[in-house]
Amino acid sequence: MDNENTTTSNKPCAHQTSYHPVFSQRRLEQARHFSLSFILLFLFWLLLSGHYDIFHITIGIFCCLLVSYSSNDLLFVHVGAGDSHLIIPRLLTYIPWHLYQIIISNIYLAKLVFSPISRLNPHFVPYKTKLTNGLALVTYANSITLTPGTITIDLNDNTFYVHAIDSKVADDLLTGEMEDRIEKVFQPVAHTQERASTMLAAEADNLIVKTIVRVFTPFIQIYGLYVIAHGHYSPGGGFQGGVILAASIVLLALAFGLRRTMSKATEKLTTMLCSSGVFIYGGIGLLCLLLGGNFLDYEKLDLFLKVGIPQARSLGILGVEIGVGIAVMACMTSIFFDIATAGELPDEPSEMVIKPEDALSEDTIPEDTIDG
Amino acid sequence: MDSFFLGTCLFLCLMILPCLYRAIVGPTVIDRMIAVGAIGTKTLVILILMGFLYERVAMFIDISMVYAILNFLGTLAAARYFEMEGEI
Repeated sequence: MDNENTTTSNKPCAHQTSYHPVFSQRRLEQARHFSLSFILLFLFWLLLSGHYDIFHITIGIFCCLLVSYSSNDLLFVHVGAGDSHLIIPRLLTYIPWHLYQIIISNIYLAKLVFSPISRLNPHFVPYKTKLTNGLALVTYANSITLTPGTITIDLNDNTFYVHAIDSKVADDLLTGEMEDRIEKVFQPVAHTQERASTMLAAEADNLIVKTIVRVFTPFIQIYGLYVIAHGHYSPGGGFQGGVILAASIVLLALAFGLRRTMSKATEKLTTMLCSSGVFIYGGIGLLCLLLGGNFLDYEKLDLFLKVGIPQARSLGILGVEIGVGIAVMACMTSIFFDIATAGELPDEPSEMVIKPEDALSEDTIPEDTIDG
Repeated sequence: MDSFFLGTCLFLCLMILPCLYRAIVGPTVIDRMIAVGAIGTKTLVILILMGFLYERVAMFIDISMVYAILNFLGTLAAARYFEMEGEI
């Protein structure tokens, strides 16, 4: 299943431009993004897993490779090459400062709430920002919302519309200290003018939702795979993990539109995955039957696995969980597509059309994780 | 410490009631959506506190993460639904 996925991957201009210099640079960037997402996802997996033996780490490496292959263009899109590794340490220096700000304004807000005289003065503040990077804009919007007293309502043409509960918190915002700090975090990845404008044109509407979904989807998929792989230690298993994987695809569909998602997770693919999941489940069951046991009598698998009865049981359960996970993910996805489309696809909005030469640099939705 | 966690749990459960009132009575759909979101956030905290009570935090954090994902997804889906007036 995985080999098939690798060969039929979505690289539209792979063979036409194989000796073009831009191509190799793109390949380099893709490889860099792939390895960076792999490292991040694998750290997340280690954090979740808690089982550090060879078997689980192997499963983890496999799952992380799968997810970072299918969604490397989700995590690190629109990030200038060569600078992306600087963001994370800079962000780590920003977070303590932001936490401190949150505590300060929390205390101020608590005073405001408990003071006998009401000094509330809720109003909207339009705030023109100098940030251009999409990630920086989203970080700034979320920082404003996280700080008590101010909430970002909308982001439109580089103008934030902020709801402030009091004139002091509004003044704090308008000093622009937070903006300067965020600019410092993302400064080295400032795009060339041309690239920034294409980015804003492609993602102008729902920038915040799109960016959040783009960054979180790979982690949700890793989480779903973790739930499947650790079904016999912790709550969850095939059904729950499958539903989480399907939820990540539904999230993509909600943020990026049904048509773009369905062009990757096609009906053919979901149907295929659905039946192959059932096949894995039934196949393991019938194998036990053929080896002289009952249906799903995992002990009999030891006859050719030769790893001892408890290990054989564990492996058998894992195999069944994987089958159930694939089947549930595919079924949930196709049920969602069927209900949401009501049988026919909505017309494609014109701004969604991506020129073929931009297809690799624009964020494309990955094929849904063909998990295993 | 257990009684502290239990007390916090009960307090949060009580605090769900006003949200529930807003979710049921709420004059507009937006009121209901936000009330349901607030209930979800409180449930998340209650789940983790229960994890401390039963001394199985690792397990309950797994559950609460799924809850957080689904809460986010539900809010997003509802917002999208009302923005597009019935089409996703």
